Amino acid sequence: MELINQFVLAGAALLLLAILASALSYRIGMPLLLVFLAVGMLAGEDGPGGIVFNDYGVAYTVGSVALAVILLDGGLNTRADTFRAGLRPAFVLATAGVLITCVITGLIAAWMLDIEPLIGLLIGAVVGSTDAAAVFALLHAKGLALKQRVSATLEIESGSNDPMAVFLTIALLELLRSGASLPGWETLGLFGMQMGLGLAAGIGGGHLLVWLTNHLPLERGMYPMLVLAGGLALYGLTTVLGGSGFLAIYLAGVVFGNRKARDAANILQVHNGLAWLAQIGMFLMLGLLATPSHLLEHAPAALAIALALIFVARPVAVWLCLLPFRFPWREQAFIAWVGLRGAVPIILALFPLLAGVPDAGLVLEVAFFVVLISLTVQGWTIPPLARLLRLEVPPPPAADERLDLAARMGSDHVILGYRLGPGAAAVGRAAGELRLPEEARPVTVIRQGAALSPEAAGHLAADDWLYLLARESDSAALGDLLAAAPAPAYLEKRQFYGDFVVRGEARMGDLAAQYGLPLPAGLEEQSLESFLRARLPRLPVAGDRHRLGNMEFVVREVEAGRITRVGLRIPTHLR
Amino acid sequence: MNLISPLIRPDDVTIDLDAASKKRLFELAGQRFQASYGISASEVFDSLFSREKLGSTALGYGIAIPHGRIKGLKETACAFFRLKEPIDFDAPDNLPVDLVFILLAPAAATDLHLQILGELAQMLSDQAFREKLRQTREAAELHALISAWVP
Repeated sequence: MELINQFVLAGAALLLLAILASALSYRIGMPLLLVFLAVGMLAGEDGPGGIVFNDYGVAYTVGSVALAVILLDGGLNTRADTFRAGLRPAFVLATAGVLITCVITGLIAAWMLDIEPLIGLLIGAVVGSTDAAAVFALLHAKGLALKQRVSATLEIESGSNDPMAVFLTIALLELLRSGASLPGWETLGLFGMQMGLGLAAGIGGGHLLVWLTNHLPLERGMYPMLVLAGGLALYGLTTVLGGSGFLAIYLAGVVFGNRKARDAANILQVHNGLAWLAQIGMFLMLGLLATPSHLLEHAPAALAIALALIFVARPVAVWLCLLPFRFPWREQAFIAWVGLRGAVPIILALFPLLAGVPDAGLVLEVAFFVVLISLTVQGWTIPPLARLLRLEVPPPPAADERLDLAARMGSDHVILGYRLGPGAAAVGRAAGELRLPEEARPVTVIRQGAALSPEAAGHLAADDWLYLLARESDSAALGDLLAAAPAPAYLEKRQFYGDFVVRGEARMGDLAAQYGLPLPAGLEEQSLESFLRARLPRLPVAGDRHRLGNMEFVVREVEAGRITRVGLRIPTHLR
Repeated sequence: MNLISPLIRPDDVTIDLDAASKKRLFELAGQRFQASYGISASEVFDSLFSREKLGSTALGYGIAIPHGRIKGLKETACAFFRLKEPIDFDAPDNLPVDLVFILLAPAAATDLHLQILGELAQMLSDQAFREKLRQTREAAELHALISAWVP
């Protein structure tokens, strides 16, 4: 009894420490996951904590469940409209990309460590996939908004490339066990089974979960739990049947997150919390599992492998996979750099250990090393790199508070609350005077703790809270009007998109004559949209730019795949 | 010193203009340009209107900078209007517009036109400056404000 209580105390203390340490990470920009891993390692056998933990079975179970929870949350947060820009490139990266990374890293590892090529490839497979937890944490970090093509590709890739790494690892273990040296037809069948079952179970299960949520009368707090239990059941069932459970639960999350489900905002909030808990738990545990003193033995070789992965294998794989998609070099460079490795390599490295393969300890050590280097070197430098490569876009001005109406199924009405900053365009005007999108209307103004009717409030002042009833689809327009721009100067909309806005259907000849642009002959009759389409990556996104003479065209709005509004920027003028 | 001050004459500034719509504003502006620069009013109207068809020249925050090119014009001509009542201008932030700076350039293209446009936009996107423009009582003071502005 006493022992159990001490165990709970130690666990809670570690959790608390990790959460408190995360506050530090905002201050010094240290990647959060690295913080958790470090806390775990400090508490572990080589650190002051001295906790000895090396139960690989428990680590594998906890790690898998935690990863499943993180993927579910990632899926819930993935908006379907991002699929347009990212699905195909992400799919190629998640399949061929993992294979290429695995082969290059594997061969280098075999050569560096002077081991059998198959064991080398096993190392390559284990570290082959990017980490969903790390990438989601990065992409959803406050204040970092990236061009949609880049964020969508990275997000979908990281959510869907674990099955490929799992498959490669299992296939290589099979080969090692059977003593064969070349993969046969069964291997291909195994791959089809993993992907096919994962896909079917994920999409089917997601729809089933939406249906259940909307039709079962439950206690309000139960709905998030229903989604959690349903998702984990899907994960377990798919895995038992021989499919990819990770793919299934991610897709179930995507389906659920994009259908109108009852109480969606609450479900999402609970799952965001659960995902944090899973990340903390998983990385703490992996930190405990690591034995830093053992890592030193193969440190030089492992370091070389990590660097080869970061600087050779991943960039080559990204370049090859993105060839058909005409990504600009800046975006390719960034995607190559966000090859973050996280928990998956460590969990996959437990496979060979549990299967009793020779050299399995070595695989785990190298995997640990690669993850540490990747999180440190890449995780730390990603936000500055995004800035350097000019891939940030002005963050969408979001409401400070939102409340989904319970009658939301069938309508998309929400109540949005905005705290008016001193720079907001609405300050100094009466609420009734604002030109709001069609159905939006002010409900109340809260000023110094008193709730006033919009009419009684008179002129709006800074620090007022303005609440509106509006359609969800109008929230972007409302944000522009009401939210103060929190962005740094270089991301201020005027600086970013330029002063004037023109329509996508504007005639090039008119624009060229108006602004004296050197338009190549024969293009006068083209619309601005088709002119830009021919010069931008295949699927244009907001923030794409093209310069003609002294004018820069910046795509400002893309609706259903069409460029609808374009900013005109005069680069010689704006800083 | 800015690029605009050599262009704008005290007569080019009008306050409390009564225009109920964008169309009416462009008509009034045409008459004004005809009187002061001898450009045909209908030509001004057509030029400004065809530019609006490409996309609104409103910048947001109640500001618009309609502009166009006029055949036969020798030098850039401009006019500043402060409206009595803000009018709908299809602005990116949906706010009605009450400060309008109209710029007409010769048909032959020069980079200077772009520069002037950029500088105008920069001047009018300064919030404190906008407030001064709105609070000033006299057209002459407004003219002085614009002439004295430094980027």
